[in-house]
Amino acid sequence: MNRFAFRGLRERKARTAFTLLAVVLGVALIAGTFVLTDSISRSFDRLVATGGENVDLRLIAPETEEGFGASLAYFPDTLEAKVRGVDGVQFVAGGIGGFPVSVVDDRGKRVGPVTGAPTLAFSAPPPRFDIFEHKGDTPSAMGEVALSEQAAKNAGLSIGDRVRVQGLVGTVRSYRLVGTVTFGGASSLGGAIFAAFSLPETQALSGHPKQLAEILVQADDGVTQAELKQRVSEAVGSAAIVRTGEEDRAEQSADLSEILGYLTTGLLIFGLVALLVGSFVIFNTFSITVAQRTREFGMLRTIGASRRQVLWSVVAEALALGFVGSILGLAAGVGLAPLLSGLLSAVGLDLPSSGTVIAVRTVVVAIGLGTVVTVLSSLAPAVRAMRVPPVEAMQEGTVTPTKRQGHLVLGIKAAFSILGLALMLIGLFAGLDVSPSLILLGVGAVIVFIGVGTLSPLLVGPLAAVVGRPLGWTGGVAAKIAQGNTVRSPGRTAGTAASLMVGVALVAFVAIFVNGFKASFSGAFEKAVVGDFVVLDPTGLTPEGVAPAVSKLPSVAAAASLRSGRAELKDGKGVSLAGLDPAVATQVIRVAWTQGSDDTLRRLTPQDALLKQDWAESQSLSVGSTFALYNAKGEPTSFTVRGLYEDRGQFFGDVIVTDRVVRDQFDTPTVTVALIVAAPGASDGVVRSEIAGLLERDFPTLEPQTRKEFLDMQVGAVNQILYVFYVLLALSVVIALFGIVNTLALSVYERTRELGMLRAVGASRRQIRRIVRGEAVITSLMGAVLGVAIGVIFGALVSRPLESEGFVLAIPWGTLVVLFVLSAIAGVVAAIGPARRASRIDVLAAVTQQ
Amino acid sequence: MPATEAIVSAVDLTRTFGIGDAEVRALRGVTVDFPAGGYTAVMGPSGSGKSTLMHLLAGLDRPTSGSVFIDQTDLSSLGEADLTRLRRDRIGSIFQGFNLLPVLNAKENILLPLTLAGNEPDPAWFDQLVASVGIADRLNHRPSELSGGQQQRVAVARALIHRPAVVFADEPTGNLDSTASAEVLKLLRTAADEFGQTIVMVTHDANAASYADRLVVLADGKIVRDGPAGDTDAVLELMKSVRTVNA
Repeated sequence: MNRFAFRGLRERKARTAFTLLAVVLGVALIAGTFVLTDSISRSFDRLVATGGENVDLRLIAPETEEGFGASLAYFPDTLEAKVRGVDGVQFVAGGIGGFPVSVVDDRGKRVGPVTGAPTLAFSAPPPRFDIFEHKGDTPSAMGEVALSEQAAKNAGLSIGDRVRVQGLVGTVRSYRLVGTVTFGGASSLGGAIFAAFSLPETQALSGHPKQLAEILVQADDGVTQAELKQRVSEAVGSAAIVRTGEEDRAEQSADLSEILGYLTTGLLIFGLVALLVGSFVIFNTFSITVAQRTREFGMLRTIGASRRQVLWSVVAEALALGFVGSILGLAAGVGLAPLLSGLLSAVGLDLPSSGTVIAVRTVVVAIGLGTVVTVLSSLAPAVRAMRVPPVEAMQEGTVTPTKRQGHLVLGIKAAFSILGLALMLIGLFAGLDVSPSLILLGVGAVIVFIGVGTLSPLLVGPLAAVVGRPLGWTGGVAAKIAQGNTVRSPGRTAGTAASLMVGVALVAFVAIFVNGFKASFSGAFEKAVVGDFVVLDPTGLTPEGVAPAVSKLPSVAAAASLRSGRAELKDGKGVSLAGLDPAVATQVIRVAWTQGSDDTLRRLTPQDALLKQDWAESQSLSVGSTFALYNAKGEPTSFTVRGLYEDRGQFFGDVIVTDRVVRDQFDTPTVTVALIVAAPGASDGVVRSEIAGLLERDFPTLEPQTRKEFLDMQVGAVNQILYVFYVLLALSVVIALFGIVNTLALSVYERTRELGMLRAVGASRRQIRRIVRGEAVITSLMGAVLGVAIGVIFGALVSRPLESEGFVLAIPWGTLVVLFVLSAIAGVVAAIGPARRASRIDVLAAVTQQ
Repeated sequence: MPATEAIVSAVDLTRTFGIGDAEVRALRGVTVDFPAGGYTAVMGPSGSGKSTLMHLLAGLDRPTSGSVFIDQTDLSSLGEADLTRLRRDRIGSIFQGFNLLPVLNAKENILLPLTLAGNEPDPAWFDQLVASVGIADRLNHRPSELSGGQQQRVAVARALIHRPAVVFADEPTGNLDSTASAEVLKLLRTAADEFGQTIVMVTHDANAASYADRLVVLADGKIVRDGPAGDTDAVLELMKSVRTVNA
């Protein structure tokens, strides 16, 4: 018996460790998220504060919008002189920047991110206002540039080398690298790298010569920011918004918080998912141990323990486990934060984060959430322990109650799942704002997971029969026994499978959603584009001269640009614009007309517009009616509707007008893409080399792509994000694995005698291992079946409201098959330990155990 | 060397548990032969070593010294895998409880030694066994749907299905009421009489022992009597004398 007590203890130690890990990992992800975003926030604030300590006032153009969805606006540089003249002003510096440029080295190789994140140009501020760290010189003359340190290093550039830069307007010009910059030690900001120029150079690159985006002011000693703001405001009137340095820093801090808020929420979701999976594991582990300890509870009741004391004994265990797990999780989270940061920068989203910020909020939320979730998960098992009658102390062996589910209980569980689904439907279709919709979706999904988890014991029998069948073909009696074992306590198997279900469902959902996105994009492109070749700058800097130049090539039949822009309605609502050149557009693109024809497009004047059918309906516009669109400065332009089209893939957007109008009235100096149709009979190779030759000479930042290359690149960019999701969800799957290990270990422990008997009648160790492994694989495949089913349902649901936007539901069968295979492998891996232990059971001890 | 006609032999077996002060010498030199076709009961007071002897004979435990031969094979020469194979192919085991796998039905439980070995059953032998065990109509039932007596009869059938050299039964009636006990014991008797099955049964029940041909009595790790079993009263009388000797 001593041997067994010892083994029980060891078993218990491992079980406690795995249950603890289920708490630790979820809490770690949550704590890590907070630590990371807090650290970013603090580093940012410090950088802005130290770099901006001399900035007493900052003037920006009235239409400027900073932060998320920033848009730039400018005022004439004559304002600078006006400000300088104000009494109490010690120093003034105008600046311009924050717009994208394309940089290539002298061989035409792109410098900086290839992921689509921009290289942002800015005018190097004078030292007293500088928030960047410099190595080498600061660009001060025409033809000089400083680049982000890491980007320069990656491109193999050193100071003195030459690079070529394409600005928002004009042609490519050559620059000498005079120095490198970093921002708080980071070489990029959210993936964007920096290129600093002298002020006049920056103005030229932006296409706004003699204009400024900001003016920084330092006050004379003794003049307060408020006083100076008063005076400067009077001097400039409505030409600029005047903020004190403090106001401006608060504003920037708020803008950053907004952006970080999205990041925090996004990462927290994965932490909460991990915690949800952890709670399944905790619930399951406690359920099993409570069942195994039935006699112990009966004995406790017999010797006078109250129901409350029994309940408390279980809850106290959970409380201790949750608390310790949360503290470990908090510590792990601090270690995890740099890894998260690394994960984000791997996909080009690096942010400055120096030092580690552990806010009180982080500690409270991490420990509170971890402990509360653990205790809540243990409540149902604890209540079951409390209800053990004293007589159970007299029963033989482990009592596994196989109580039939009452219709009422079943009904409640079903209703609960349906409630979750209903919440999701409301979130999707009720037309609420984005945040409440997402919250409803999330809460609904969690309820569905829990609901299906509670209902899944019913499915265990049929599922085991289905997924166990292929196993039976190979495994013989071992598979038969394994399958039988999974249906013995359906609740236990279901709980274990459900924990894996959550992770699998979310992976499947993300895969389905992203695949649908890719399919939609490809579909829309295939439908709308006739062109054989595509030329575009991934950061939106395709010069408008590309299409006219390319169209003159002998092997090119036609080339035309698509210029996407933004406009506003009178009420400020955004409108997406497509600018097309009526003379050539019909040769490279295809419009799905509902009213009008390609002739309508050919005859389009700058006063005409084509409208997307459903947008026109929402605005009550039809052919012949007139309407106005407003640019960022609030200036209106009037249009007459000439035709209507369908655009399910949002390829063109709401309104098509002429290319010139988008450029001139809506401040869009570059085009989105140049589309090229090869001349009949011209081979792809010839066309490509002609285009490439032209681009190399006149537009060295650009390269031609075939339709397929272009689509592959777009898909590749989406895949990167997909992989980040997979990595974050992998944590949940790992927790589920711990759950499987726990269940198996406890089952093996419980079935010691049975396994010993099997060995005594001649089962080999291998056969015993096969039994345990089979049980694990069947359980994990059940989780995969449930998860994929839910994932597909979620995917189908969420894609419904997007269908009007052209979203196509496309199931990635390959990925789903891989999910099944990985789940089976996960089962095998989880079974290694328990199977080993099972095969090493002391046969003699097992069969003589009383 | 054991006598050639013996199916199971033990030669100078000793088995010691623990070390130092905690040392328990469960067997102190036991030599015994079990000839083919014999039905032997092993009795003895608690701690006499009777269970230890059976575990050593069945290859579930290894002796501290001495040897066990089954069908001329020296068990001490076998590794773990060979020992498992021997248990599977040459030995039938019946335990006090927990004989059957709850996830398999009666038929599958009976066939278990064969399916574990990957062998096909002999249908005629299976039918004959099932008929004599009397559970033909319950073959598709799970153990939980069978009475204790039925379960134990299924266990007997399982111990016989692969025609083992010897069947070891460890208190096979320990958990049964008297009617069910009688059925199981009669069944073992039939196996010995009709199939010529060698059976070694450990029991503390004099009535159970009276079904056997031969009675071996252990006390303090040694054989103190080896002879014909006789009826229940004779066995009881004998056991009383053993206890007195020990006292």
